[in-house]
Amino acid sequence: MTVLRSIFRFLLGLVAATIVAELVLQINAATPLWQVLPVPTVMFYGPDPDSGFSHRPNVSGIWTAENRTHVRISSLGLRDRERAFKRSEAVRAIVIGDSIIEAVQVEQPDTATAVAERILSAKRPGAEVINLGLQGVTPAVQVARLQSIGLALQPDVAVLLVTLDWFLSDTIKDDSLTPGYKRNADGRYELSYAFRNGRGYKFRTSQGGAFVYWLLDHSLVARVINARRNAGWFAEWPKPAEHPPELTSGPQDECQSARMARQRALWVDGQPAEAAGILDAVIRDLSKISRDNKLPVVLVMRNIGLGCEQFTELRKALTDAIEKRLAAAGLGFIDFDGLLLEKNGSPVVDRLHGFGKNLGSGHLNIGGNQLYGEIIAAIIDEELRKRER
Amino acid sequence: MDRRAASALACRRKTRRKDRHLSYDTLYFVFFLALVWGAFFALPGKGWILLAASIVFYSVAGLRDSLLAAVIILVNYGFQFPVKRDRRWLWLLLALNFGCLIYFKYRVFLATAAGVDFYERGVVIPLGISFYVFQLSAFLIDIGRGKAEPFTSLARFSLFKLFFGQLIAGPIMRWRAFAPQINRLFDGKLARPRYIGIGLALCVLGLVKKVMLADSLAPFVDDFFRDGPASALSAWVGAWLFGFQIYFDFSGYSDMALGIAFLFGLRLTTNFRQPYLTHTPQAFWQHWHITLSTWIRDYLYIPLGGGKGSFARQACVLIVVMGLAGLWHGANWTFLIWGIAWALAILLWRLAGRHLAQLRAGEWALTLIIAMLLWVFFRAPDLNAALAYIGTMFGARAAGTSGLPVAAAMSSLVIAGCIALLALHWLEAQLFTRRATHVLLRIDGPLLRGLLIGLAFWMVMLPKAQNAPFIYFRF
Repeated sequence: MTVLRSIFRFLLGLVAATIVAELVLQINAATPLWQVLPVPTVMFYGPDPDSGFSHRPNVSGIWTAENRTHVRISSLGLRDRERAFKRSEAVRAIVIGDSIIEAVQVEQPDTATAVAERILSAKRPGAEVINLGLQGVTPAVQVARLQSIGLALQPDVAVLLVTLDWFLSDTIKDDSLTPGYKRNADGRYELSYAFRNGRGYKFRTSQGGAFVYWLLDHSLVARVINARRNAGWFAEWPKPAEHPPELTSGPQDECQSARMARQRALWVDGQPAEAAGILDAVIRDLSKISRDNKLPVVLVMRNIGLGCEQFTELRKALTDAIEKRLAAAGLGFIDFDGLLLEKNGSPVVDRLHGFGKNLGSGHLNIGGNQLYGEIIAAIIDEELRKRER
Repeated sequence: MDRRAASALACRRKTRRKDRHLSYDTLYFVFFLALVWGAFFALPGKGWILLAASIVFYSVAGLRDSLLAAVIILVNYGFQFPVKRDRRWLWLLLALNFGCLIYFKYRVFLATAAGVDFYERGVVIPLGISFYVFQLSAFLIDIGRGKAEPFTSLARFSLFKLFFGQLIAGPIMRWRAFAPQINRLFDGKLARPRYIGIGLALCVLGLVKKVMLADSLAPFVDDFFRDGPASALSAWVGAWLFGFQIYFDFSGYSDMALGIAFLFGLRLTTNFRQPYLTHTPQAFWQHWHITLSTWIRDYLYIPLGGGKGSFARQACVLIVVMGLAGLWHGANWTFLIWGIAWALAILLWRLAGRHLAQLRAGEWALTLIIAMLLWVFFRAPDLNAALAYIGTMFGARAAGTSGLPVAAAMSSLVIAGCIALLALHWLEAQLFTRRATHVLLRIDGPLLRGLLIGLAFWMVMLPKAQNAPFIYFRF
């Protein structure tokens, strides 16, 4: 009996500790202390039948990686300001991109799309630029996202910020977590959604999954456990050596490899065959969406090796080939790095990336988002002008 | 960057701290501790269990460090009796111990200072070498002075130095305080379970200081010292934040060390007693890293004739001793200057202490300001950066771009936060009272232990702001 009583009291102590931890974290999160003291990062992703995962509507919390920000997902389920689903008479543009566009490392008004919206609405009152950025998306997911939420928003123009390397990556054909391009029985590459039958996806869309998400939305202690599960229970175990963080992007690191030659082989010679087949499928699907919906679709390509003296001719050949291919399919093409060079005045874009001691690597900082926003605004404005002509 | 700054920077880059170790603020250490604690209370041979755990704990540092520690321990063990018989052996052994320390920790600094560059590949300082060399040397000197007895058992001697609760960053234990406790463990005496509640409370307090406070301040301090302060106010804020970061970091580690020892029925020497509440520089050093201060007093200051003779002689001894104490922290001119500056502050109080004491709270404020000012030397990457930083503190040209938030409300919050840190320090002083200890002993039981274990668990589960090992692990 005494042993049982002791065990009960011990467990009661553990429960009390959990309540204390929850209270302390809630106080941290609700007061300016969130900018300094430990807080678990917000978990705003959830299952999505079209893109595998996407933002869950109305979730809010603190993002802690790279730079601390308060993130709120809009009621439309976007990393965007609150806005009506139904469009007005004013211009509406959507920007589909990866974490660079998602930009959870800065406050929403500082994101590139918010900057672009402000610039554009000065010229075109009421103009909207909607952020459809989502972490780690491949062109396959971008196509799926355009087909679903993108078209539902009835935009006047769709801008897809595409990182060139994805076309040569295996991830674009992997449909276990997000849509991927798979070869069907006819030998055609089509978007495939095998993730919908996955155990993880089924759990996330079940009652159990809904309960877990409810818990993550309401309990910071639950977020701590989730963050630890994602990072690894023994994540701090001593490692032999730490490598410096890789640059997320930036034309200056293109010279480090012979990627240019591989991209040229893909776009000009159609090699390797599988990647070329997937590339054809992406262009085909985007072209169909554009044609069927009379929607100008602009592919803004990043990482085409700007600033590499040795690749100047190769780069020219590559950009010409990309432009020709896309134009033939009725799609717009923008050499993003070229515009960035023009705006930035130099191919060295370190100052646009990273925060604090990691300045120079990582996601876009406020200055980076400002510059990207200006470029995106110019691209959208130019596309609208074309349409008006 | 001028030549001297470049040379200091090169020296720092080539002398790196050891990053491979089991850290107290991690989940895997909690599991390790739980496993060792379970075995300690369930199995016989408590001393052997702690020794085995300590060997495992240190072996994570790698083969080189483990072998070095083993060799030093074996040699020191082997020469205990010769030292007792003939004090001449003591000098040989001290030369060996400090020779190792100099070779592994200071050779790049000394070579760079002499203008030669032998060590292109850099040097990694063996884990905890400064601490175990000091502890072993103190033990040998005590034997030589007849104040300690040699260990007859290698296992007991090894645990005396290797106990994982104080192996890497102290407290630097003396034979008189620690050896009887080690002997008790090996003799199979009771492990004093009534201190478990206190031990857990100290572990939680240490974790709060490290995880919640020190690690949270670290990114801001890094910004101030990397980019340089943009104004006098931001320079003072940066120094102030570092002063508290290093206090919370090291005293947090020391609290955990004490707490871990209590879990196994051992009692380590207290290393910190709220140093920022002291009124004089001398008192500061009696409350900051106490086991190092007393080591320096007993084995350097007094033997060199400190406290005797003319004021000039005492001043010279103090400057030499504090300079060495500064260098103990790291192979850099900044540490040397830091130590010497503290010596000058102590001398100032010796000269004008009576007048300064009349300032009452002003004397405390002055000591606090000196402490924060001198931390700049401790934290700055090189002497030039330290001087530029201090210049900014006193209104000279801004040393960099790191400033306080532009919005007045946010700046006020930062200042309020700085004051809150001092308030926490005062609050801590209220916790460390005899009455608080009695209350803790009275309410100790399954409920309290469950609460404290739960809090410690959540503390190590918290996402780390950045990978920030304990600062004193590098010394």
